[in-house]
Amino acid sequence: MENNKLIIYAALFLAVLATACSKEERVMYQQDPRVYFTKFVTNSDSTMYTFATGPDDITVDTAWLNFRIMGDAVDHDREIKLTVLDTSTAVAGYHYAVQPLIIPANAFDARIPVLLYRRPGLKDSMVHVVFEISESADFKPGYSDKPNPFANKYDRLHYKVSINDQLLKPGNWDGSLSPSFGAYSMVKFKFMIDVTGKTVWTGAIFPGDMQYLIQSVKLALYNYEQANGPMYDENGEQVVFP
Amino acid sequence: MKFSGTILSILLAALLTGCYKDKGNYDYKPINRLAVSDPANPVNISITLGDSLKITPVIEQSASQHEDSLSYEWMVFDNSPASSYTMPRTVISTDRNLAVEIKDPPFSLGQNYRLTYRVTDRNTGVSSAIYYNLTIINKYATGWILLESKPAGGDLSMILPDGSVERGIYTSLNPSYPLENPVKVELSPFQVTDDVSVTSRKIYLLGAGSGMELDYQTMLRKFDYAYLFYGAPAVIKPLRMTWMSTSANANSLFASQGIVINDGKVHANLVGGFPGSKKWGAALSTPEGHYNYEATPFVAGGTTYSAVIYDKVKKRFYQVGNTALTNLPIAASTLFDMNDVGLDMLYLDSANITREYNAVMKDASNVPWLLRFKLAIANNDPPNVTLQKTQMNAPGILNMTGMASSTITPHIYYATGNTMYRYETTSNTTVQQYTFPAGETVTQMKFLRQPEGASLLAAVTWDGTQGRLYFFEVSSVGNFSEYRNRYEGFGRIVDIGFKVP
Repeated sequence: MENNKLIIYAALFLAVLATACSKEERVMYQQDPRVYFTKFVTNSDSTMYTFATGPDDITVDTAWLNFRIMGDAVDHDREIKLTVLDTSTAVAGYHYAVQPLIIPANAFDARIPVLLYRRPGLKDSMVHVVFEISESADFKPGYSDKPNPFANKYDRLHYKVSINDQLLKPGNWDGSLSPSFGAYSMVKFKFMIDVTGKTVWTGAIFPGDMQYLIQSVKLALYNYEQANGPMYDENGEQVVFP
Repeated sequence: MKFSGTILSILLAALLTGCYKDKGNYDYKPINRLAVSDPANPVNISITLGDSLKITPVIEQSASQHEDSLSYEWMVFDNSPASSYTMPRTVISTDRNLAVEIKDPPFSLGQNYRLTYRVTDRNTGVSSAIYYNLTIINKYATGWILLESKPAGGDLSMILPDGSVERGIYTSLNPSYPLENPVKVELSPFQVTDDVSVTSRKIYLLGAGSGMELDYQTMLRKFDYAYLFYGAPAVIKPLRMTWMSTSANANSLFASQGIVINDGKVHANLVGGFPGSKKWGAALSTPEGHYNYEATPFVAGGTTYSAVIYDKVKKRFYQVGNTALTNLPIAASTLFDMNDVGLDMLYLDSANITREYNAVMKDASNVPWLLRFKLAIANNDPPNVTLQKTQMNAPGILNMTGMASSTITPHIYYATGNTMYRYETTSNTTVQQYTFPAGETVTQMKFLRQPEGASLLAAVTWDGTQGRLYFFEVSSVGNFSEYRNRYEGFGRIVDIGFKVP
């Protein structure tokens, strides 16, 4: 009897010691699958799309929603659910149409198109839609933080798409473009687009490309002035590049 | 109860062992440390495809005198910038010293490879390694390049280091791309990373209405001139396509700015560590925003001013910015005004002091002038760049047919017809240096400074039927009396350059 107790105590003692020898498991996300909007440096929480910088015959174009999951990939397609905030002014099916919201099998992320439709009212007004990730059969909402509170208005569960058909001042004009191109005007911006063929001026522009854009519009404006005299904008100001 | 007390005592005793002072032996026992080195220290090796590569490294051991327990591995992988990190790694030898033939596979012409030599002590697993960067070249790696104009079009010949001559290189390698009216061969003395192609030195061939980039190793046509621009100029008329460096260290030059002079207008190429391809942009405007200028085919550069050009119209220098030409600071000019020189440029070349330049000009009365300036200003030095303005005592210089400025002595060599003169910038005197055979006219001269060995003055002549190339070995005081080598049988040589591997 006493020997049995001794064996039991010894076994317990060894078992306690042996726990120190167990291999540490890798820390992995073990909770429910979740999904969130990927934050890129450019257009991190919203996209402003205008039809005005493209050809006149374009009636449908595409914006993209980028998703990333939490947890492991699985061997079958999974569905994401989006709802639309009540403050949204764009009409689903009329201004935009979200394509199937699927995280493909064995994928950790997905880039899903949103078709944007050129409608007459966009000439004089801008509409927007704010998407919100809701719980679906496959995913719960993921991270809800703002990785960069200064740059982001929306967290990683929301994404805003704005649509218009006007030549609006790019959001980065005052911060990034004005040192190279001077004061904004619609005439100047249209001229820049016509000369360079570049329709999207938001987002990162590599230094080499930026130098070429500056050189090109300067040369084109010089040639225009040689043929036509000074160019004036909608405010009566002469168009110049610094 | 009695038993429990016993067990408890045992457990307590076991616990108390934790308080026992450890008297183990913790002295470090020296192991055999390895150090591998190469007394030749050839980190960068350019080697010809088909040659054998032999390397004998030095292995030092801290606790062993013999190498019985060592194992060796020579491993290479393609280390060209465009290569993937998943490129295969190949062990080319497991011998102590390397002696292999450089052949395909795994080596390909023009590619860069990383060669790792690893020595491992099998007893301890301790290893040591050294690395080499290999560039696989061919026979065109180094030598003088001659750009010739022949009845059938432009061509290249080379004079190789052993003195042998390779003729018809361009036409034999690129028969589908005839080069019409050749005007210039441009060679960059340092590697350029433009993300248009792999990092390498550059070689461009320029014609009166066309141009191209050749592969630096294979000499095969790589890109058309227009492709090297974001948007090709409306008129293709290249005069220069060159790279400037603001590096203060002559042994580690890097590209700072690319300069093209096309149809008299300047185009810039902004290189740097940022992503995206780097190409030449649109023509640069003057500081006033107009394009009424015509650049001469000369570009000067320094550590303070990366590139400076000369305008025939306004008769002045401009600094080359990235989006426009700019004025030089007012304080940069004391002896003459860089922004308002008022003379016609005849010739511009490097002087005998690094980053100093000799400009030969003439005024409206056809009087020759030497203007010297520098484009590197040391810290705390005054901002003045002008060094000298002298009315030249140089007979016949206004009719010169070839000119080269020495980069070792204060001399400018120039020729009129078949007579070569040596002008001294410090004393403003000229002596007749050499006379070529009657009927030959000097058409081109170039000075090659060679830190190790005699510097060379190359002179090209044309007699109406063939081109000749003379090499003069220049003494430390700028003198020579006879040529060292003469090569002949070329077409009309329009430009020459020295290609380094």
